[in-house]
Amino acid sequence: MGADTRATAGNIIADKNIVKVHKLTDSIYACGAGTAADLDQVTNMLAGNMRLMELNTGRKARVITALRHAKQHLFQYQGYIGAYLLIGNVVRESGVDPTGPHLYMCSANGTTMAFPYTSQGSGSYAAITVLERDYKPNMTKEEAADLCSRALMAGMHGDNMSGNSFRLVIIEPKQTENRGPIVPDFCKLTESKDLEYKFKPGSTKVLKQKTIKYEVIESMDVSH
Amino acid sequence: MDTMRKDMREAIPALGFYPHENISTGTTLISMEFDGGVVVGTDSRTSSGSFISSRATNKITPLTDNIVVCRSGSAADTQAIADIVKYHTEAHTVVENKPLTVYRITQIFRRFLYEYRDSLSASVLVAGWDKENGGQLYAIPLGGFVTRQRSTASGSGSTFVQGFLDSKWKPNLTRDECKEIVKMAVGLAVFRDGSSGGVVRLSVIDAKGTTLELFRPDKPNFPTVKAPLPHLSLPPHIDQEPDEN
Repeated sequence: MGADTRATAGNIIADKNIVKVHKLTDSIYACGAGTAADLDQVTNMLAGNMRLMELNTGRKARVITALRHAKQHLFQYQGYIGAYLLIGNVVRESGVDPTGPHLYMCSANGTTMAFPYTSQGSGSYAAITVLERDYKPNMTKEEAADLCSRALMAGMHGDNMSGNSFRLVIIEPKQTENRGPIVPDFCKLTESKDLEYKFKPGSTKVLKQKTIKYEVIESMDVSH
Repeated sequence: MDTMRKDMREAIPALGFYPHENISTGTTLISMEFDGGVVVGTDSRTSSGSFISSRATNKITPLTDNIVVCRSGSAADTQAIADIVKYHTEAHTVVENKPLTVYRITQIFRRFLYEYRDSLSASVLVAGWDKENGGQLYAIPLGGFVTRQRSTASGSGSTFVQGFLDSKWKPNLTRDECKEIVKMAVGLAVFRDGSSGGVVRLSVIDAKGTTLELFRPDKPNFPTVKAPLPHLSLPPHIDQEPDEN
């Protein structure tokens, strides 16, 4: 999972380095889009509830528990808590819940969905295109991290409200790794323009040619 | 990420940003009773405005081993209601120590959908089988009115196939005939309705339980529609090959 690090207030960049990857438990993380204050509040509440649940039951909290808490809380507030979450986890204790990695989306209205891959937030439209094109099942950790980075960069590139740098969190059965902040090249300098606006002759491939002969009966003077 | 509450309420169409757009299931739901069970078929599209937020959604939600609910309207509302009804169903089942009838479940739905009719946008089909009455299908549209149906379509795609379903229904349809009709109806609806699409999910509920089948557009047996070919639209001196599809 990953997220950029920009916070905006209108068209002002309010903070260039905030953490949008929130830790819920050792093995459950949530990425958030929407209202920063609401996200902090909701993720803190979830983290607290999950920890209490772990202490009360003596077991690891499960991602579906966090998800249900989130959706019921957000539904109760009918979308007025502007938190859009991606919740991900890998179950640590093998044999307890051997269903493998989980990724869920929870919107501010209380809709939840499970996905093999997804994106969220204002940059999600650009990001999902990269994911749709390059995602394949059973990727290695580095392949997945690379795809995640490229999707984030696409999102940061194509959206004014995303940018500056991004962070990744890689959740594995034994440990969790945090990477970043990573600053992509296009966030460092003004970009050079990629192509000339004047196209060279032959830029467009000719697929078919057909000559039609017309007999000119009358012509018009177009010099002025 | 936005730190201003005011901006949360204002859409920015240029950025494709619609903060309070409800994620909703512009949907096609088709269902038919047959002797001994019910067939239900759905598309799999979930949209948020013009964006498809999921193209492989499962809109058929099991409530018990022999009863499902097909959801259309706001995804958040229908998920919440389905969860609540499932909770009440389980509570009743424990108290009474026998499975609830399909009708009882429709009455639990009615209570919530009618009570909160002003704040909910949820329309559902409840399909299932019980010992008392066999296969049953109930439609609960927006206000919370419960009607039993032999065959029905619901959701935005339903308008396109109402006539098709009426023309195909006859007494004593078999399970397989119903499956074919329902699948074709979803195919036809998806072909014409912009807010339905993706895969076709077919479910059969009978005494033995619930089965769920998947039909993908890139795999065999997906319902295909042959629409009339268009007239050639460009001037005749330009070579045009009529589109075979």
